[in-house]
Amino acid sequence: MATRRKKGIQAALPIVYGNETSKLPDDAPELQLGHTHQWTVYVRGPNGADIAHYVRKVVFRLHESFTNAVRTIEAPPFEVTETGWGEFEIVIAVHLHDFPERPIKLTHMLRLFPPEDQAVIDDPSRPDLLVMERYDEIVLNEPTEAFYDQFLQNISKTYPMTGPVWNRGAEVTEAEMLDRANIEVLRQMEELRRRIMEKDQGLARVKAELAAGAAMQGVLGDSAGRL
Amino acid sequence: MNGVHDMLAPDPNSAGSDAQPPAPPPSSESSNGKRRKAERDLQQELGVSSEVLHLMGDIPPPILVTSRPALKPQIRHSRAMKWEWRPFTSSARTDGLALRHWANASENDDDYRFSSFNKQVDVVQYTDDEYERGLGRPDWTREETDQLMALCRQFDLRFPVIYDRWENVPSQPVKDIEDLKERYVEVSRNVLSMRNPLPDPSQKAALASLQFDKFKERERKRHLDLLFSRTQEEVDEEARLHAELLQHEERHAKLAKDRQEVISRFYKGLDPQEFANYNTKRRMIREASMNQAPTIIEGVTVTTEKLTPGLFLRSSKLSSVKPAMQAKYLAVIQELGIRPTDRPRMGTGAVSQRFEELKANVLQLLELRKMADKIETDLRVHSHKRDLMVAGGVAADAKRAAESPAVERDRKRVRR
Repeated sequence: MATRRKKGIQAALPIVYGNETSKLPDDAPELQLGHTHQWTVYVRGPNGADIAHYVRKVVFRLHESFTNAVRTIEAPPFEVTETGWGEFEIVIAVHLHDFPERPIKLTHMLRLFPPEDQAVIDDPSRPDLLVMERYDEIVLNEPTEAFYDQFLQNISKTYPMTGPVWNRGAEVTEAEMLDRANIEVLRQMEELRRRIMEKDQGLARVKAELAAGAAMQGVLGDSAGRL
Repeated sequence: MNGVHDMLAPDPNSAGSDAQPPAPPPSSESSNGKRRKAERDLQQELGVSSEVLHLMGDIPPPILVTSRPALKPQIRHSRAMKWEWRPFTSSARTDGLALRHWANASENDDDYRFSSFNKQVDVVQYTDDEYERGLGRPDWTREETDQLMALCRQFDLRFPVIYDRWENVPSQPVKDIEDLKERYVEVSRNVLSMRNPLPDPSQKAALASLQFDKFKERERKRHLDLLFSRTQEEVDEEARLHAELLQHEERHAKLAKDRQEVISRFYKGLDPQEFANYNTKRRMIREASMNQAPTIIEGVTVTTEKLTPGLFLRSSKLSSVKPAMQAKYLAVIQELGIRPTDRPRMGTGAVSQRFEELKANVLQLLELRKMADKIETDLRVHSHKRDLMVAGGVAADAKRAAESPAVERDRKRVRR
């Protein structure tokens, strides 16, 4: 069969998705409508990587107050630019070339204002730009031969992991942090385990003492009349 | 109009050949004689009055049951019986008194009819010699022992009665019902074993049954008294405590089981080799080098594990934390210097794997902490109880010393 699967192989396609936004300039006509910001919601490859060779189309489902709330983008760049004043959730469906029936579902909360709980990195060249971006990967277990071959061919396009934000260094740093945390947790668990064993033994001893005492009292009858 | 009249009194002359003159009523004149005779026969056979017969019709009832009274068998003798006033003896009597009664002349002169009912208990009868040899006891005189055995014989080992008839000898210690029982059992056992020093198994069993534990009996009766004299409140309290105890035991058993399970589960992960593996860069290289492919390809993981073919978003496969544990889990994460989020920042395969590992480890750590707390409180509670008991035991000993010396002597004997 042409579609033979590569056993034991898992291929990961990295994507970044999110939105950029900037305040509308003072002379913009949209201000009349009450809009405050211009924003672009997008699905891209990290560091400008080309994802079109495996992404067929991306469907963005905007808030119903927008005309034609369902925007289907079938050619790169897979993004939608609009103006508005509100923040809302956008549902994104990424359709791959080889899997027409199974789109990947993403949800992204459109942000126009910087959220309080997150550290904001300022890019001095674009002081008014706010970018809320997430990194994720589309994973393929046991891809077909055809897909795998094409994937291998395009690997350089898929993985230019040398950008400012998403790069190998960042990945390694995060992995190291997690490893350190894991070691610490295991150490604490070991300590706790030791403590539990000690206490367990102590408890067994005390219980034995209690049982012996109760047995004695049971034979003689406690003077207080307790059986 | 005419129809009504026709109905009420059909006119023989009305139109239609169908109109027949009404059939004459079945007259009884012609067959009268036959019927009368048949009726009389039926009447005689059934034995019922003529009115009932008329009610029935000519058909006799299908089954006619008459009950026969179950009378005593009437024994009819041809001639009268002779009775005589006769003296008789009973083997049950020891004095040979010959009373008299009416007896049938044909009755034989054997033993009295009811003498076989005079059953006696086999109370041992010892000789003086036997008493000298092995039945003596400091707190029982010969006379007392004899008196006891006589009473036992007389009253068929009914000890409440025997005890009631018992007269304490002034110079000897007072005997209560348990003492009497004990002495009886002792005497019987010793006499039998003296007479039969080599018993066979069945006899041995019979001998073994001659046991009587005075103290246990006293305790048992005391417990029964206590049980009997409980108030309703005490009964309710006891039931409640019992239910509570069962619950505690259940909980404890469950806890012990969980503890065992967690401990055994953890002992698997305690390989020192595992710690060495946590050198990140080396590990990543090793992971990559485990690929079967000659070159290390970015973004491709080669595993020998079972993979279900499929397409998914990596972050969608992250395991979730129960909302109850969520807060605690995030707190621990933060302590460790990781940003408290539910997904990693750069979720590549390597990072996501470590993220999941950390999550699992932290949850296990939380469970261990909970367990450690529980066992600590357990230990504290039990130590406290033990301390109380030790203190109470000291006080109880002091109290007991104030009680009667005899009881105290007994208690001390048992303790040793």
